[in-house]
Amino acid sequence: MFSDILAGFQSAFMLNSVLLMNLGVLIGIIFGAIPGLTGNLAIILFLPATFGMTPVGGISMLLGIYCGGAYGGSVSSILLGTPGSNAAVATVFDGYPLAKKGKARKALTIALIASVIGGLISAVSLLVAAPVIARFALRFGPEEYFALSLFGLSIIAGVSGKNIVKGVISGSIGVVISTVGLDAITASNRFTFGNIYLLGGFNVLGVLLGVFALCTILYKIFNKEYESKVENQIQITGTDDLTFKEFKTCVPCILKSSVIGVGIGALPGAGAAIAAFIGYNSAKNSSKNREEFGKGCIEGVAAPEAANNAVTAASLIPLLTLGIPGSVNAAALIGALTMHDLVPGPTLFRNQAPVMYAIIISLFLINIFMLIQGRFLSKLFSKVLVIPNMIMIPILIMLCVAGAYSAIKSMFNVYAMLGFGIFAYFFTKLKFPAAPLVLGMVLGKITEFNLRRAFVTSGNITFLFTRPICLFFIIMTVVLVITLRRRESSSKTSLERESSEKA
Amino acid sequence: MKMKIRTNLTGGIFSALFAGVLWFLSLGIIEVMPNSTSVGANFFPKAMAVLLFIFSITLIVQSVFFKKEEIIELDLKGELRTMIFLAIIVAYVVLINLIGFLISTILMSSAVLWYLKCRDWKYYVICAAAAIVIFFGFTYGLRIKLPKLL
Repeated sequence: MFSDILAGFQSAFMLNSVLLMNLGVLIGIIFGAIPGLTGNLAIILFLPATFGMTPVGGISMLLGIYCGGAYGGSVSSILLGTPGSNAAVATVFDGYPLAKKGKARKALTIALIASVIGGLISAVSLLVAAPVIARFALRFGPEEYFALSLFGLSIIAGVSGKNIVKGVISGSIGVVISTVGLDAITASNRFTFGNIYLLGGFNVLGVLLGVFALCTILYKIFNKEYESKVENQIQITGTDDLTFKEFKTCVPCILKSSVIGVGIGALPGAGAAIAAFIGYNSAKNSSKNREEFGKGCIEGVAAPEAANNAVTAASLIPLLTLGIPGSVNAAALIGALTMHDLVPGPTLFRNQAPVMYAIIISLFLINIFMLIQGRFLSKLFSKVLVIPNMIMIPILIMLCVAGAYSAIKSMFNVYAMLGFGIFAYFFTKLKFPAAPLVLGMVLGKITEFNLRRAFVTSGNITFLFTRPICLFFIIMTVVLVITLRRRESSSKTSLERESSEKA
Repeated sequence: MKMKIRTNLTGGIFSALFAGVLWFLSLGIIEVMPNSTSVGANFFPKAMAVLLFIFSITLIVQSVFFKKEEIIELDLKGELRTMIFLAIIVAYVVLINLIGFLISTILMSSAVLWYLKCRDWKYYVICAAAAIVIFFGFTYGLRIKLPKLL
């Protein structure tokens, strides 16, 4: 194990990897900062660019985008009062009022430091927990993998929004999409209609680009967002920086929020937005300056930022060790991992241990680079907020088409992206959530394959209740669905209450 | 001009129809030998068709009997604007096969900017430059050959 960690250090510290991590962080912060764009979108758009890179370099760049995107949302939250992403909503409550008092630099600095500390604590959790869980998961047979896949599918409950029935329909359609192509066990043609490009099924990147990127562009056109101009952006002045005493007062809430973020990130489905909100509430309840929250309290900026960045590495725990994407970001990363011949799951730590440790170590480096970039490039990031939507729209389309084409070097994937984009546009118009569709597509193959293998070895479905690990996952599935639905409705109620108090 | 749509009812009907089509298409998939204990290639698609149908009916029941509905107001002018934009994108994708990625992308960016009523020449130059950077970046940087002029 130590030789694997040393080999990982070597790969992570190569110049190529370091440069790509920095590029990823820069792209992630920019995308996270611009309202309407997200780190997740950046991961999907730049995924094709990693094809020609080494596995460590390519995955590190995408992780840089992931972590940078998680922090970047705070820039527009603080300077515009508009969150750059869902995870940065709670940062607006105190970040924007603090900036309006002429303390924008202080707010950005504490957001950055809290994000970095949260990210580092999250990376430690991944380094410690992942090898242990992976070793345990090596005992799994197809029965356990099927039960685990069902557990993974249950995160649909957390991303379904208001109506879980619509979420289940969306997830089911995703599973249906995953069945297109040659059946892995019997080699039957399923829904290929004689098209050779469908023999391997729909390419994940084409679906992701269509459902998230193209659909976002169509909504920008519908909502006339190309006409909107950024007004009332607060300028960063040089005289209001964070003091060491102020940082010391924030340390307890940063550490507490980081632990909250790690716990929520490791559980599939809950997401950075929920972590940020719980972190904010927890800091408010335990603060001596409770009445200052909502009026520009620096703890109110530090807590949600620490929590949302603490989700990043922790959300990779179920992905890397069990092959279950705990979030939509992780589902995009599955595409990247498989394209570099890294099949997520417990065998990854057995067969590709140096690469895994390199990726985990790169998460530490990424957070340090984010600290440097955030500190010295804050004025650049504030200028990025004024890039007109009118320029971004054609550029995003170009990136989508080039990316979709490059996945399988065929225009068919571009047509598929177009088709899924149009479908997702009307689908989401009818208030169906898009995230379960992607999760269903990613997990559908694993679920079906292991169910059919389990039937060969066990003969019937009773293995779900007779094998202890399967029973554990079934109970966890039920508990997770109930918990996520309760948390979704209570956090939405609290969010509405906070927003109306602000108004 | 606006149009009200009952999303639960509409979504439920469309997904029920999809479930029906899926069921019939699944019948064409080759089945396993009858005595085998394993599950065939058509099991999962059929199972999803049944699940989809059940939840579609649930959605319709929610709307019709329990009056639990999410109503949206469709802005037809906005939808027309989006559909015309989509037509530009479809034309762009068709053009790529005929005149290659670089030229069709420059034409697309100009058409999109013109359609969005942009009259600042700098934006056209920036987007054309972005097309060139992306083309050469993919072709020579990432070594992925994008479609060229035949």
